[in-house]
Formats: sequence, structure tokens, C-alpha cells
Amino acid sequence: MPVELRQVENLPDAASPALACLALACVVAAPAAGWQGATAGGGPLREMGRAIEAAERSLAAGEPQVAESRYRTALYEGWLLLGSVAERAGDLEGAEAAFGRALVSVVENRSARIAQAMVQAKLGRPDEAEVLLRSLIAEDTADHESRRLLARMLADAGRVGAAVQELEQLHYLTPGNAENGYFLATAYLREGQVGKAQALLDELAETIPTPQTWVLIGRTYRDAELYERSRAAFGRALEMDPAVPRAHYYLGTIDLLDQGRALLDSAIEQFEAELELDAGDAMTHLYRGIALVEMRRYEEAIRSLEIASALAAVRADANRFLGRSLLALGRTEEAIAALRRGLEAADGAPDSRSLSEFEARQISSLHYQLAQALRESGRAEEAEGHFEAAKRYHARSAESARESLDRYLASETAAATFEPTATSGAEDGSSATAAEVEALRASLSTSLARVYFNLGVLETRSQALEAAIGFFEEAERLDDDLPQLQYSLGAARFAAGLFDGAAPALEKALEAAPESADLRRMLALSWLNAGEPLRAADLLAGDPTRESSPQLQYAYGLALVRGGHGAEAEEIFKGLLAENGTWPELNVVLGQAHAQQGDYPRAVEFLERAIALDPTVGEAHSTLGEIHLRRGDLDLAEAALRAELRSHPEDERAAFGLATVLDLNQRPEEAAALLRSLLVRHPELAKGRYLLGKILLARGAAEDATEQLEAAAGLAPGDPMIHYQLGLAYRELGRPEASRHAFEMFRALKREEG
Amino acid sequence: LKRRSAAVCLAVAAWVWAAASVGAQTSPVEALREAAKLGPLERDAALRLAALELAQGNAEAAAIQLRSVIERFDSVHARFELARLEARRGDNSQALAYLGEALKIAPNSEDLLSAYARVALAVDAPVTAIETLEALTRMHPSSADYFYLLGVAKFEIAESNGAVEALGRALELEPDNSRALIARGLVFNFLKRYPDSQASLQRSLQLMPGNVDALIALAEAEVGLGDLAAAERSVQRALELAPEAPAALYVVGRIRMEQERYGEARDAFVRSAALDPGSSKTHYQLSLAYARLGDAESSAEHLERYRVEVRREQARLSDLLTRAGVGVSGMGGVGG
Repeated sequence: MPVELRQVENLPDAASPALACLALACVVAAPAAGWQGATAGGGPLREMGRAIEAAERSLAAGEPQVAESRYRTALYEGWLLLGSVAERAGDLEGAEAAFGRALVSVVENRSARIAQAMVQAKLGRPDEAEVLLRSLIAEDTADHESRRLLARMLADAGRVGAAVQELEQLHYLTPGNAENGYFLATAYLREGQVGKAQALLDELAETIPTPQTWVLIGRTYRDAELYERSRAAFGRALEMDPAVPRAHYYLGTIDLLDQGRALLDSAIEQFEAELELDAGDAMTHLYRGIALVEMRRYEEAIRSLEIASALAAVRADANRFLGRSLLALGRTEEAIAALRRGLEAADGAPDSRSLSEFEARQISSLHYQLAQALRESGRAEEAEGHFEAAKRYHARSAESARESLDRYLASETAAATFEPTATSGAEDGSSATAAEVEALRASLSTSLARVYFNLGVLETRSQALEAAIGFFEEAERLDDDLPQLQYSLGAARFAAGLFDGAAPALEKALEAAPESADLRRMLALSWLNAGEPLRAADLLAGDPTRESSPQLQYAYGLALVRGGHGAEAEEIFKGLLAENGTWPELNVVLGQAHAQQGDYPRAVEFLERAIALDPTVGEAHSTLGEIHLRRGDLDLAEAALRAELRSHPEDERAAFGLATVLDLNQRPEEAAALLRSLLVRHPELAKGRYLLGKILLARGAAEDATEQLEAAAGLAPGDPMIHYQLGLAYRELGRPEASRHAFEMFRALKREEG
Repeated sequence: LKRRSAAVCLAVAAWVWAAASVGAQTSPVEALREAAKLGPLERDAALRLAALELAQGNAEAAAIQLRSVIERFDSVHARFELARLEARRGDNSQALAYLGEALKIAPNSEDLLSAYARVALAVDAPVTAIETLEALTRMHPSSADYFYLLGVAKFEIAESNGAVEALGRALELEPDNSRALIARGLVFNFLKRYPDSQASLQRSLQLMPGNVDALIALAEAEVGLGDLAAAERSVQRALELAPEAPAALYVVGRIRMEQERYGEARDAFVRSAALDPGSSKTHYQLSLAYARLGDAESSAEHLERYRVEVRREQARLSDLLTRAGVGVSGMGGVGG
């Protein structure tokens, strides 16, 4: 289990307006969501797990930059894996999306670029793939892998000449590199330039004079359908070492490819010679088995096909031929079992959307034979379903579904590219069933979600709420059930003032922890600020600590007022005042509320009480100043606003109010100076620019005034008074047309205002 | 009221954080200093003492603690803090070195990458900055600031189209980013795309009336558009605010040249060149003005100065690329 965040129940009393910060503090204090020991198993998640563990160690050591970097590495590894899994499952669009995420996770993203290029090529967008690969080659002209992949991709896209050119350049840049020479030789063969290829392959044999080199050369000629050269190469290999692996195997396949059924006996001899060297080689057993089936020597074929069926990569085919043999021998039930295993193995292969013709034929054939076997065993109804499936898959292939050895081999060589392909190998991810693939994808998504979650916590610690929310949202997209995720997301949005978004997340968190009073309170405040006062009131009504908590009681009263339950609210506020008359902020809020309703005497009473309790309480003096201004008492207004600015010099509202008062009090110079200083700090303040423009215009500085007024109009285009002043300014400047236009705007906006 | 309740909440949040930092500053610095005299402090204590020393203006004492943490704990965080300290002290090269070391350990940290890019720009290493900013813009595609910096860095190496693209992206993300608008206006001027420049700069001036750089660049665009009256108004406004701005004097010279008032043009260019003797374009214009005035000798002299400055600028660019390990053939990769 992941390490749990600090329990919400352990929060300090959250029944205060500071609930957000307290909740956020909880997120900040949260230890990272732990890694579930992925490194222990040594599975495909190992690299990701290592990165996460390193990140957690760095976090514990007080190294946030290292932690972030490692978490990003974990994201990179995770997305790469997810992309690979998707690609193997045939979901190329999913793979592209995952590799795209890997690309933007870290600085050094070479593997992701290569993987993305390969997927784009498969998706039929070789131009995009080429751009990616060329970006890698531009960074390192001797990047062998990228250039080889580019060559392969170009060749696959039919641009064999361009592919050869790339490999020639690589060979030129790395003259002694035998591997690059080999790839160039395969490219020449593909282009039909046998002489050039031979020169390079001979050079390779000279550089690395081993029998294995000749096996490789023989295989290369075989794939180019140059069978005599191929036989000669394998002959050289066997001369050098009669026990060299794979030589007999390839010779057997050449017999089949070159002469088809005519050389079945010879092929079987070669496979058996290979088996003398390695009795357990599954691929050799497969070909031996298939060749024997072709010769209707079913009894002999069975043992080889059973051994071959252990190899996941060919399990479907081994069972297909095994089923066919068993059926021919009248061992119907065993045949049915084998064919079912074959279908099961085929089911784990790429999904039907991206089945190749060969794969479609293979599955069709499995269904067909199974249907026959079932019919023979008297299960006609079940057989019917498989006949239907066989037809469906058959329709997907252009050719007959009848299995044949030469077609099987042809499919193998058709897959051969410039690079040698493994014809036998260990179990890998491609052998997983669809269910296993899905489980791996889900597991990776959850792991990635945890990493995003931890990055969110990290950003919260450095007060970067916007970034934190972004990471929490990423985590939510991947796994919205992650423990503590909804709580952290809600708390972060709450602290950022994004109440509309906070409420749904907190609501989900509350579903998971319905007993949490703190969550309930935070959700109530979110609803209150998100314009859903009655939902807030509902939540707060039953809060057992509400009556003992002035902050909660205040929020409850506010919710009732906004929800249209004024009478109940009045009782709440009366009670609050009776018990918390010394709470300065409460008096300020009540003063503001009365001022909004035009009840200035009561407003002044509350505000003066607030100031008496705390002369520096925020917004008390400025609200008083605004009231005095509305009443036309400019001297009192000025004094109050100056008092606010003494305690809170950054208060933009108070500064603007004071500038307005000074202007009205015939002190435009002072007002203009104050406004200029205010606009340095708040260049977006339209009303400040408007007032400054108006003052400048009155002083005859029409050009300067115009600048300010134009800026104000840009910031607040819907304010008619700005256009009116602009009209005056343009008139002063002798720009009648602009002036006329500004006045027209003024009138139009006024009409809109009604 | 709604505004207020949200404001109260946020204010308290700010207070919580502020209280935490105030707490840090009022902790017993003397006790930590005394402890440090007895031997190297534990990692966290040393970092705390460094923060306290810095808060009290004792940069060197803070640096000693940070260096000690780096040496003993190989700390990236300490390197980052020390880089910030060095940058504040004006030693950007040292800051860049510390950040480079830190990035070797934590190559994907946004803090480090961002600081590295900014410092690289400050030490005239735009190619390094570009490489870093290209990674940052990829990893943080919603940050307008990184695209803006990328645009500036690309313009530094005269990759104007790349600069326009990056600045355009910054403005898509933040349409009212006045710094990006001004920078894009400058690049458009360089590309002689004067209508685009004028639009960009006028918008920037709506947002930041009286910005001298924007006014000068606008005047230059207006000269390019042949609207000499507008150019005159813009440049005079700039000169009111910054009478010694060489770029403004250069534009005055350009206007006078267009007006065929060659003597006044020469005087403006001479003043501009005196304030910014390394400006190749000023020497070029001076050579033209002297030629028009019939002073072939001075014209030739300034034409030569122009050539020298152009060669120097090219050498600087080449040096920048070489220092960054990027040859001419690699430019596509850098700029791409």
C-alpha cells in the first residue's frame, strides 16, 4: 500500500476561514505516495520504480530539485513502457499518445523520439517520423541507431535509394564499424546491388573470421533469396565448425523456401541435424513438425510441435499444426484442446484492428479446424460459432486460409528487414494475453498517477498552486481513485480560489471519507464561494462544532443570507456579535455588508468598532473612506484612506480611492503622482489609467492623456466614460475623426447600459 | 462579501506561509553561528544558517555555509541557492557553473533549468540558453515566459524566424505580454516587416504607455513605413523620457536622412555613435550621411568602421556557437 497522507482527521480545528491553508498545509506535509516495491520483482517497471525510490530519497533528504528531476525520469520511463505496451497490443494511437507524453517529461528524450518515430512510421506517417529521426542525427551525426532506423523506415516507405544513402553516410563516418558495414550490405541486397553487398560481407568475414559470421552472412543471403550464395556461406560456417549453431536450421529453411515440397526430406534432415546440436530448440522443432505434417507424418510431428508450443511467440501456430495432426490421427478431444490453446495464444496477439493478413489467416485456420474437430465430436452448435469466426477472419485475408509451410516461411522472410530478426527467443511482453496486457496498462497508469500526484505535492510545497493543480489533474486523468488525490486536488483548488473546481473534488473525497468533519467544512466553504449557498448551509447546519466556532458560524450565516434565509441569518449574526464582538474582521465584514445596503450609519458603527479593536485591521479604513467619499466628505475620506495605506501600502483599492479624493479636492498633481506610482505596480488597472488620463487632459497634456486613455480603453473597452474622455482628448489633438468615433462609442455604450 | 471571504482565506494562507518564513528569520542565528565555530554544521542547520545570513545581508557568510553543504553532501539544493546568491552578487559566470553542476545531478528540474537559461542569457551564452529553453518549452508548454526567453535568445543569434515563432507562441499564451510584444516588434523591424512591427509595438504601448524601447522601435518601424511624422512623434516622446538613448538618436538620424536634412542626420548619428560606438548600423548610416554631405574621407572612415563592427558581430556570433559546441551545420538543430 502506498504511504498514506496525513489523516484528515488529524487536522487542527478547521472551522476557520483559514481552512484552505490548513488543508493545503496537510497536502504540503504529506509524504510522497509510495512505490509498491516494483523494483523487487525485477519486472518491466524496474526502471520506473528505481527513479521513484530515488525521488523519495531525495525528497526525504531535502533536495526538491533532485526529487522533481527523478520523478520526471519516472514519468518518462512509465510513459515509454505504457507506449510499448500499447504498441504491442496493436493500439498505435495509444502508443503515439504515450510516447508523446514521454517526450515532454524530461530533457533527454532520445528513446522516446525513436519510439515515437517508429510508431509514426507504422501509422503511415513516415514524414513525421523522418523529422524526429533527423533531429536526433542533427544532434549527433554519428548516431548509429537513429540512422539505421531512418534507413529502415525509408526502405519500408519504398525509398530504398535514400535508405542506402543514409547507410553509406554512416559507413563513411565510421569506416571500421563492421556492424554498420553489415547493415549497408543488407541495404545493397535489398536494392539488388549484390556485388557491393558481397564486398562488404566479405570484408565483414575478414574482420570477424568466425563461423557465426558466416551463419549471419548465409542468413542475409537467404533473406535476399540468393539461395546458392546462402548455402555456400552456411557451408563455410560448417567447414569452420560443424557444430556451429543455426547453420543446419537455416539450411533447412532454404530447402523449403527454394524448392518447396520437393526438398521436404532434405529439410527435415537439416532440422534433425540442428536438433542434434540443440535438442530443445523450439523453432527447429516447429519447422520440423510443420514439415512432417506437410508429409502427413503426423505421429512423428506431434512431439516436435508439443516442444515448439512452449515458445510463446509461436504457440498459436505450434498448436494449430498439433491440432491438425491430432485430428488426422482421430484424437479429437486432444485436437480440440490444442486448437483452443492455439486460439488463446492468438488472442494475446495484436488486436483485430491491426491484424496482418498472415495473422488473420492463422486465426481463421484455427477456428476452422476447431469447428471441424467439434463437429466430429458431435458438438455441432459450438462448431457453428467457430465456422462463422473462421469465415469472418477468412474474409480479412486476400488469400485462401489453407495453411501451408511455404506461406508460413514466406511470412517470416517478408518480415525480414535490414536488421536481423530473432527467429527464436525468450518470452517477452509480446507473449502476454490481452488480459495481462490490460492489467499491465492499468498498473502503469496507476503508477504514473502516483508520480503525478507526488509532483503535485512537491509543487504545493513550493507554493506553485497552479502547477500543483495541473499535476493533480494529470493524476486524476490516469487514476481518479488514487488515495488522497481528490482531497489534495480539492484543497489545492480551494487554496487557489478555484472554488467551482474545488467543490466536486472535495465532494468525491467526502464520499471516500464521510466521517471527516474537516472535509465537510472545506466543501461547505467551496459551495459558499462557488455560488451554491444552500448546499453550503446544508453541510454546515449539522456541523457539531459550528456553534462553538465563530468562523463556521459566520460562514453559515453568510450562506443563509445568500440563500435567501435572511431572518435565520440575522439570528446567527446577532449571536456571533454577542459572543464575538471583539472580532475585528467580523465587524469589518458586517460594516461592508451594511454599506452595500446603503445603511451608512450602521456601517460606520461596525467599522469604527473594528478599528477600535485593531487599528490595522484590513479594509476597515478604506471602507470608511469610501463611505465618506460617497457622502462627499472629502477631508474625512482622505484621512481614512491614508490611514489604510499606512497599514497596507500595497492596497490598490485604497490608493485609487485616495487619488480620486485628491482629484476631487482640486489637488490633481498629487493625484497624478499617486496614480503613476500605482500604475507601475498595477499596469492593468484601467480605472487608474482613465483617471490619470482625465487629469492630464484637464492639465492640457492631451498627448500624454491620450496614451493613458487608449491604454485604459484597451483594458476596459466597455467603459463608456473612457471613450468620452478619449473623444475630448482627440479633439484637443486636432483629430476630429478619431474624436467623432470615440464619442460614437461613448453613446453606443451608454445606450447599451440603458 | 463573496470577494471578501475568498480574500480572507487567501490572506490567511499567505499569513501561514509568511509566518513560516518570518519564523525562519527570527530563529537564533547567533546560536547557529556559535555552533558553526565548533565544527561543520549538520546539513539542514547549515542551510538554515545560510538563509539567515543571507536575510541579514551577510552574503559571504551564507556562501561559506552553502559551499560547505555542497562539499560534504553534494547537495543540489545548496548549489541552486549558491547560484542565486552569486547571481545576486553579479557573478553570473559562477552562478552558471553551479547550476551546470546541479543539472548534471538533476537534469529535469524546472527550477534549475529555468535559472540556467536566464543566467546563460545574462552571460551572453544564447545558444546554451536556447538548448535549455527548448527543453523547458517542451516540458512546460503553457509557460509564456519560457517562449518569450526563447524568442529573445534566438534573436540574439540572429535566428529571427525562430524568434518570431517563439514570441508568437508566448503571445498566444499571454496576449497582453508587453515584453513579448516589444521583443516581437524588434524582431519584425530586423526582418523589415514594418506593418507587423507597428501593430505589435502599438499594442505594447497600449499596455505600457511610455515604454522607451517600444517607442524607439515603433519610430523605427514608422520610418520603414515612410510615415515620418509618426516616427518623429514617437522618437521625440522617447527622447523626452530618455534623452541619451543612442537608439533613439539613431532613429532621429534616419528620419533626417529621409528628409534630406543630412547635416542634422550626421549630428544625430555622431551623438548616437558616441554613446554606442559598437553599433555597425550607425556607422553605416554615418558613412551615407557624410557621403551626401560630400565628405568622402569621413564617409570612407565610417564605412570601414561599419565593416569592422560587422566582422566583430559575426566573430561574436561564431564564438558563441563555438563555445556552445555548435558548428554552422548544427544550426538547424539549435534553431529548429
